[in-house]
Amino acid sequence: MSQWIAVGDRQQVEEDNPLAAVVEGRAIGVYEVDGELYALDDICPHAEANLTQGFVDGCEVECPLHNAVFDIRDGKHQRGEPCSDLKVFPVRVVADKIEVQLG
Amino acid sequence: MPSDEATAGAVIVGAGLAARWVILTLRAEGYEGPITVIGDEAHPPYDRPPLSKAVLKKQAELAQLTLLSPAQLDQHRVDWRGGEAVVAIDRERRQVRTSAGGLIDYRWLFLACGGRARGLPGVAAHPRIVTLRSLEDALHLRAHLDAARRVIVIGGGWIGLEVAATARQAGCDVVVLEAAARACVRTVPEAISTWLEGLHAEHGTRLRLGARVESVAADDSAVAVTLADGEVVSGDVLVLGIGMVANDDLARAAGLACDNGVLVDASGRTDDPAVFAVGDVANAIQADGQRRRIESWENAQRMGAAAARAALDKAWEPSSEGPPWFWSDQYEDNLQLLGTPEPGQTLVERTVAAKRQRIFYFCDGDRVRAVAAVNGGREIKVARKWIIQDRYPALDRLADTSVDANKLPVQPRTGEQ
Repeated sequence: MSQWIAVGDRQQVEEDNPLAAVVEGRAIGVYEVDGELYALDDICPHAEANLTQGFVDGCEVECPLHNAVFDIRDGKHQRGEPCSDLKVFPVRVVADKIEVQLG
Repeated sequence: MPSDEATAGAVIVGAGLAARWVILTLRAEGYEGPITVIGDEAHPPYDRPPLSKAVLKKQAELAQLTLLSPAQLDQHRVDWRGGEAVVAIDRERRQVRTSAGGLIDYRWLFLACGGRARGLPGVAAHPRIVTLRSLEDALHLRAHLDAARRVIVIGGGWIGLEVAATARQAGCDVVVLEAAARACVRTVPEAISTWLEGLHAEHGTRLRLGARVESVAADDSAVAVTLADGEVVSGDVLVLGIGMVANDDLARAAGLACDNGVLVDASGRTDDPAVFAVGDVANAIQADGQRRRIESWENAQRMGAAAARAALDKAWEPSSEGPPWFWSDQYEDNLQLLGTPEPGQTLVERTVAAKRQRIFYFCDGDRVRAVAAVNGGREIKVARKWIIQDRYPALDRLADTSVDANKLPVQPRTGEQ
């Protein structure tokens, strides 16, 4: 089992305002949807933009460069240009710290 | 004999992005009948925006551009006929004839045949004079860029400027010759042209505005462009980025109304209820009631989906998608434009120098009508939401960069509490 790695404080993430982190060289975005946290790949497979710089609307994030839209909860590509899905990572909060597991 | 209702299905002429969206939408809306796609390029459907950037930079090949893989064509039960062309449409029989001699019945015909790069009148074809429309064009230009030191681009529109930026990044000396007084004059207001001109100057690309081309001469070793003021610009390769011509000949020959493209309504319908035109080839009625041919990636996508829904008699609400949108990537910067800025609108600027970000809001009364954003994709999408919901923040707060655009409170509309 891979270890949990702290990426930031719980208050750094709010709805519409994700946290961008780099964990062991991998860019990860942490989002809040309906009070739950989700961690997923932060690089849009289409054009290598940081999705945390994109537009969060409810449970979806839209790439800032073009218009690929992903579901934050499962990383699945929803609409927009053809693009692969995003990998989702386990995330938890321990003593107000957000931790993710690369797996 | 009229076409057989049982076997006649959707026939799509052209295999680009608009065709892709016709296919996906027909299937998503539950259409189970046959779909035939006839495209004169041999490649499976591919995406064109990377041709002027990632493909020229050798960062993308055909595999990364593919819009519908063989597996997806299979999954959607598409009879894809690559490397074939439609040579005639018989509207009475609802049948198309292909270059391979086949006759295909249609229930609906979707013309998604795009356009071709415009040439320069009086300039003969030469290997050193290139245009950019297809993957082959891009690979040809890419081979030139390997060897070229000096690149001349005629046309300071989107293709011209993107190619110029890519060539400059590859280390070439680049001169862009634009006949108009400013860059991208057809599509953006002056503030954006000024930004684009500054961007190219910053990167050492020479942009000559008001440049009238008198003649072009090419030989085995070089190409030379003589301007009306007598200046001669020499280079190793000349790229013509002077727009496209809609491929409406087939429709015209079939008696469909054409004028700079196939004339259609907002859903891509021609006067013939069985024939639609979508994407670059369609001269369509737009949301503002005006007829325009829009050459953009998003328009191809929207129109493909709209026409497929219209064919199936499914309801479609264009305003739910917001105003037209496009983007351009040049050097390290991303420019996006939402809506159509009009003269007389108030310009409000929001600048965050640290992020190399400039947002231009074009406003009318208390409404934001259009937005141009440099490195501001999020701000574009936030504004799209305002426009779709027709609710806006107080316009005097747009320039306030102490608050994120998505945190600006929107105002209730008149008459609301």
